[in-house]
Amino acid sequence: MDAVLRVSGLTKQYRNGRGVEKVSFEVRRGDVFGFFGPNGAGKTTVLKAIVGLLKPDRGEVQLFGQPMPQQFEQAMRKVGTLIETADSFDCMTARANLELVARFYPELGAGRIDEVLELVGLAPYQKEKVRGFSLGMKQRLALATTLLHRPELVILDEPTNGLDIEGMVATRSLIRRLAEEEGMSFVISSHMISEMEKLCNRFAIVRQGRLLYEGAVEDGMSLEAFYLQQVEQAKGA
Amino acid sequence: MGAMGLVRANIANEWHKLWAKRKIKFLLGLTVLVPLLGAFSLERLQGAFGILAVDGADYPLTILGLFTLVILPLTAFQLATELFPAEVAARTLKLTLLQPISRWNVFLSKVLTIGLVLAVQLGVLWAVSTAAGLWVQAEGLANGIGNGLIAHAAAWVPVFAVACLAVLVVQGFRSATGALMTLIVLFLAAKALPFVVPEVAVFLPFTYSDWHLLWTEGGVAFGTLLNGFLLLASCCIVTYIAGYTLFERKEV
Repeated sequence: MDAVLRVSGLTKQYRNGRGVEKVSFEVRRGDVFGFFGPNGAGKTTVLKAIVGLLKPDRGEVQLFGQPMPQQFEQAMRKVGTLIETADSFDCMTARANLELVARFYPELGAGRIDEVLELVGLAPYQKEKVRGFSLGMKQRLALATTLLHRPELVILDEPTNGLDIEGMVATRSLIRRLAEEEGMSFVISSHMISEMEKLCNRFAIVRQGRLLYEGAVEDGMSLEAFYLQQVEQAKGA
Repeated sequence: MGAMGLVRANIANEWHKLWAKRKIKFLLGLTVLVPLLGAFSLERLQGAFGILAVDGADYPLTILGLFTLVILPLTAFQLATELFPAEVAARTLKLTLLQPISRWNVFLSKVLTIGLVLAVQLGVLWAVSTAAGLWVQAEGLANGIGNGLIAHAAAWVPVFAVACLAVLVVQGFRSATGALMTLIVLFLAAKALPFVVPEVAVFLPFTYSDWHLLWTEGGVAFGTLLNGFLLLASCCIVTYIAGYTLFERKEV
């Protein structure tokens, strides 16, 4: 199965000494890949380095076999991303925010924006300015901009942040449907074990800037127990 | 989508984002209001005192002088601040950087958008002040229309150079307010500098706020005009490259 994302030896150190060191993992086509770890583990740092929001000190990233950042424009056409916070242009309407993305994809049909607004449940609010949206609505709009161009790989950083229970359930079932029916691959970063367990088939476990494990969870073991086992092994090593 | 297509798409995006903000509408509104209010006031004053201080043909150039001295540089500062540090502060710059467009094309499209807005502002200014000139004095206005158009077109060059310098300066800021205040302080300092160190003044784009007048006065050597143009063009190139170097390293 071909790799849609390959990260090798990714290292990034901030001035305060925190960061990530020698992180390597691979996401295969069709994976719903969980990038799991506690707060401050370095998950967002790795995701930002993958999509070019920051420059790693060392390491390589390949998206669909294309090196980043050299082939940035070609590679990112197939990627949808939601990094860190669900930000949008508050002074513009939901629809206008999506039009900003759609301009980079002239091949999208006229009805695609309507389709995506329906998908995330924002169609009735499309002409409202985003500054009046709740956190959950902003999160859904961010998800809509991520999915607008039918990406092959979707990178989501804490996608259920700020969502209520119904919102979380709806997001999970949307991810599952897109993975199964449209063959999208996902990288989902989260600190919430229950979310990851319900969605992901493979994981990378990150703690204190280091990758502890990459692969599937052992049969019969919960993710929580597996994570604690990996942490103990890392301490003992 | 090729590079030009991406740049065009992002210019359209930047324009829509600016238009959605009240500040830019205010600046363009000012561009319409100032010539009209000026013409009204001048017509009243000239009528009251029975003197012709400014005729219809000169009126657009008089207003242009006010704009190139203060209002256009402030517009350039506002645009540079809105498109760069304001977006960093609002965490919306990353939204553009996550699209399939390189940082070079993002930077290029933002700077070109600033140039486009300034060109539109000058175009609106020319049209409104020329029409307002009818109110001041219609006689002789027709002779001044061509001169006025050339002057307004020429005025774009130094103000764009100021904008490129502003774009470079704001790369060091993550706050819109701090960036704008710094630009204003630098502007005031640059205006005072020719009195202190006249030799340096020739290299600053702020010194060329009345450069457009050289294009309307007869008898100015082509070499003088070319010299000024090349200095301003060099300023644009150097500040653009330096600004891009800082933008390219930015972590958001």
